[in-house]
Amino acid sequence: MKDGEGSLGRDYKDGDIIFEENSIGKEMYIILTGKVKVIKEKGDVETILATLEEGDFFGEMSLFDNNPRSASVKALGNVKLLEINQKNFLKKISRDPSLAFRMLEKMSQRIRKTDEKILNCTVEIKDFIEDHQEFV
Amino acid sequence: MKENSNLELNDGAKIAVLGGGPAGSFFSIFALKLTRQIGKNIDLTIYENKNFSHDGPSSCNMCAGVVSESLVQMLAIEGICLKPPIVQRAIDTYCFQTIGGDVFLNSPSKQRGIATVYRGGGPVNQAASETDKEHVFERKSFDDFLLDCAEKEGAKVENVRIEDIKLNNGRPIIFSKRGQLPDADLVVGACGINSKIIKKFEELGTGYICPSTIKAYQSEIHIGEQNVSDLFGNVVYVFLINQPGVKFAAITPKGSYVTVSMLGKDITRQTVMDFLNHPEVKSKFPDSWKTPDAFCRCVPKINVGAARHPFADRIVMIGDASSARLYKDGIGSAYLTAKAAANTAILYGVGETDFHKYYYPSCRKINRDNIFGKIMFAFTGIINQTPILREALLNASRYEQKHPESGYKCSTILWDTFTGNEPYIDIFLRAFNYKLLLRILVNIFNAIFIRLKKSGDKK
Repeated sequence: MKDGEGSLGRDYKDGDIIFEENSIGKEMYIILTGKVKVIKEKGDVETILATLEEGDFFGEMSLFDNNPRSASVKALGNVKLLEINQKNFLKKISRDPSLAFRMLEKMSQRIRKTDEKILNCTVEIKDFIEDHQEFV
Repeated sequence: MKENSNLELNDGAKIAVLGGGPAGSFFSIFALKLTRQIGKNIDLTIYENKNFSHDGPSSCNMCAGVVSESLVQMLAIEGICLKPPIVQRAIDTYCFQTIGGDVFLNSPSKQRGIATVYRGGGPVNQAASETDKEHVFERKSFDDFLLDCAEKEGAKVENVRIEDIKLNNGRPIIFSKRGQLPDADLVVGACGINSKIIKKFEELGTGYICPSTIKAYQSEIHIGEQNVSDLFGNVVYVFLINQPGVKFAAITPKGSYVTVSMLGKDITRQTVMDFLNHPEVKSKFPDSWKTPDAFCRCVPKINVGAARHPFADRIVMIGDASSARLYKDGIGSAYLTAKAAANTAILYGVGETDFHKYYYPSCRKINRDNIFGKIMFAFTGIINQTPILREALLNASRYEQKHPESGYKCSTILWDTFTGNEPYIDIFLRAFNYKLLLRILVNIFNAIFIRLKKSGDKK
């Protein structure tokens, strides 16, 4: 079989940008195979916010709030992604609201992780300030 | 209807799912996920006598094996991602072949969104060439994959054929050849319409009557992996060639085979041979190719009507045994009915009133939609029988494919009707778009004008 004939979705190569921060997007993506990294870039510094893998989805925030993309997403190695556009997605959710259960579950897990990260950062900053009180 | 709304599934309740096809597996996956989410436990057993990893019709749930784009996406959202070797070929184009020409329609989503799969282990009588024998095409049954997903969620799978079902004091009791099986608080009829047990459900006296059906004819023709790639690629061919007695025929590429699906009245092996020898069909195959004498084939029933009263206290029928979309997307209907039944059983209860109130609306939605499906297919039949209309529709679709900026109005109607991607009612309403009607009208006048000009030139 020729490459890709048996695989659903679209192919991306290592380093391909799937979408950029602040771009306008009307699609969400589900990873069929491979990995992607969610990044924020400031100057030459690239901060990895998350690494997502098979079965994970991303880009869903813009479908709900219609705001520009909050981060960039790049392919880590060869990736196959299934793209779902906003209109189709909302149609599906309106026909079967329980379809959103898994998304809500995943989004809740992400919020928990973010909370944990913020808490860890706050503790680290507090410790840092306490350790360097005399300089402050 | 009995007013018995106290039938709830308690912690540790037992569910017996009769049938391990997509409906049974989907029900199990959703029911088990939901019970975990609400902090409950259920003991769910799927009874399936087929081994889907074996080749041939006896281990297969016999259908064309096309998973619509819409279902592929919904499953991916649910965390069920379809990949090779389950996906035998990913489809992004449909070709509509009529006796007046053809038109290739590309997927509106511009991606390979439709999956072709084997329901069982694959075809038998593999007339594979030497090169194909060296490279055995890897494949995994779609039904087997879903059953694995259900097992991962915590379902038990028992390789048992259910022979009978009876009611004892309002509780269903199921029997295998060896005798009575453990009591269940809920029996889910996911047995499909091709199994014998479905008649036993009718005999229970709950008011259940299985759906009316017609027969489809599926044939698996081996042409070799290279030929499938070169000649069919990622395209499903739909043939509207006015063959007597044939309503609809399609060729679906999969691995090193193509699946020939035919619908109509009294389709026999000879009808399939006549179809394969039709010039429009033969031209799709290699020049040196000869119609094989033997090929793997099956004649499954498919729904053309809906079941009556597909639920009772502690019993619910899902998938084909309840309601299915007309001609298309049977697996999608299995998903919809299974999910609605699982949500009802876990969140509301397993009484007749619960199923009537929370499950049956999903079935009624499919049944109502099929009325529009019948109208759409009747329209297609009329258009196909009328050369001027056929030509106008083909030309309008060809124009849209060449000029995407004009919008895919005609193309998406054909696409959604034949891929089963959207509910028929949506397609039906879209067909009354004035721009589309105007486009077709212009093409009708064009077709008439060209005919008049041709006849004038001849004179």
